Amino acid sequence: MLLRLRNAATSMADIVHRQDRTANNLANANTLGYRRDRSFTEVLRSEIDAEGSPQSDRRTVGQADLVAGALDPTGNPLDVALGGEGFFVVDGPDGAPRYTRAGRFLTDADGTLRTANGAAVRGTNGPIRLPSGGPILITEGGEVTVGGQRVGTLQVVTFEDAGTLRRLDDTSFTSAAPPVAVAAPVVRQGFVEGSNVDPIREMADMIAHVRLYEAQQKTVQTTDAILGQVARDLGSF
Amino acid sequence: MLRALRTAALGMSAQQTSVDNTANNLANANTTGFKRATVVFQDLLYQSVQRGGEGDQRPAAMQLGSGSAIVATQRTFLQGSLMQTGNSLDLAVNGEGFLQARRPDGSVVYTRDGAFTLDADGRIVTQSGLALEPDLEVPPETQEIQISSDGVVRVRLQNEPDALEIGRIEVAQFSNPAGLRSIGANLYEQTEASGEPQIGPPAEGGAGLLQQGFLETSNVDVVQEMVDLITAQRAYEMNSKMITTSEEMLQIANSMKR
Repeated sequence: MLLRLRNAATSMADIVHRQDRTANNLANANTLGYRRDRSFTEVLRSEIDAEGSPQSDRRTVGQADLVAGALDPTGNPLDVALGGEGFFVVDGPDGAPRYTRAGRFLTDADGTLRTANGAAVRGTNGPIRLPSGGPILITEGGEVTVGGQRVGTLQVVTFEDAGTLRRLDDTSFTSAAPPVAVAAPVVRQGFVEGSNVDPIREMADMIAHVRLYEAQQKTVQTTDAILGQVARDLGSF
Repeated sequence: MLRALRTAALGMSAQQTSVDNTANNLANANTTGFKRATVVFQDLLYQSVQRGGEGDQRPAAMQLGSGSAIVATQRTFLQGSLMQTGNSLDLAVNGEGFLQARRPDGSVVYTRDGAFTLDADGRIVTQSGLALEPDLEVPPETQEIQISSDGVVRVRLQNEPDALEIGRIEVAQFSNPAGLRSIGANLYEQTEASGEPQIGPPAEGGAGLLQQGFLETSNVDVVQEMVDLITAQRAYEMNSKMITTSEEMLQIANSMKR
């Protein structure tokens, strides 16, 4: 009986976390290159108590959904989107590489290619510096030319196990696993990749979460009522 | 629970800023030389609720995010379309580069708005009265002003068969035009992010050509702005629903104890 209470409470706490995740997805429905946060709940151990009510220990793990977002044409020469798999590599504040799909880049005062947050974009031979003058062309393979002169190649990498990716701010990820260069990247100049959040699905999840929460609360209330009744009736005997 | 509330609130305020930006773009849809700005969203810090990779095979961690924010407004310096005016002091830069004007304190500002006029002394000035840089003075007996595509200004005086060269207009190019600071009145100021201007004659070193008798219109695409507006409005609405739903969950939790 008390286990039933505990199960319901654990489940409610879990639903709260899921709702937090949905809130973050919705808040980033318009964030370029954002990858939907999804979660799985795993049952670690189940047991049946003396009364026959099952009890389980659960754990929720989150993972980024790497499905591609829609490509949005901008016509801006420094906007790039990845048509296939992979990530662009940018410098984190601590110098460690960060991986991102948000390809809205800018140049700074000396022409170095950076994200809007100021992180330098890594080419295959270090940072990419664009001299002024001449049209900027970025080929499908990620080669950057200014006025016909090659200035660098965008680094595009992927990971064997997407589960190693951890989220950071600035729409980027970090990973403990070594990145693998994408053999034939598909870089599209003049496009940005939107968020892959499907708002309708998130709204449906949001409603489902609140109703599940309510159902679990009713379980707590009912259990509480039964326990109260048992105490009263047995006490009056 | 409070996390979802705050996350959604941050989402709403980011969308609100996006609407503010769209409003400014739309308000300037007919402003000569105006360049549309776009907002750049990013997600915020993630909190690790459980760390992954500890004592079991699954490396994935459980991380919860805390919403979105706007990191930058980025100006898009795409060419606006050229509109013929027939006015000999209207100039458009067809391609890269900014026209320069000098403020009374001597500092130089940059603009794509080439609607010039003459002041009482015959100097070429912007509509707000700033002198064109370099200074060009048009003699009072001028009948016609000719500005070539490479910036050379010639005047034809009364009773003179040949045009007289009075100077050359130069344009400034920046390695990062998006780093320029907008100061209103269609003017931009140089910043550390934009870098030093490279000043040179038009049509050289990647600079665009000057077109006399034309003005560059705003590069705001009204349809695109309306689409952005609708997107922001709907995202705002969904985030607000998340707030009411989170509130409902808190209420349910509260009513557990009768």
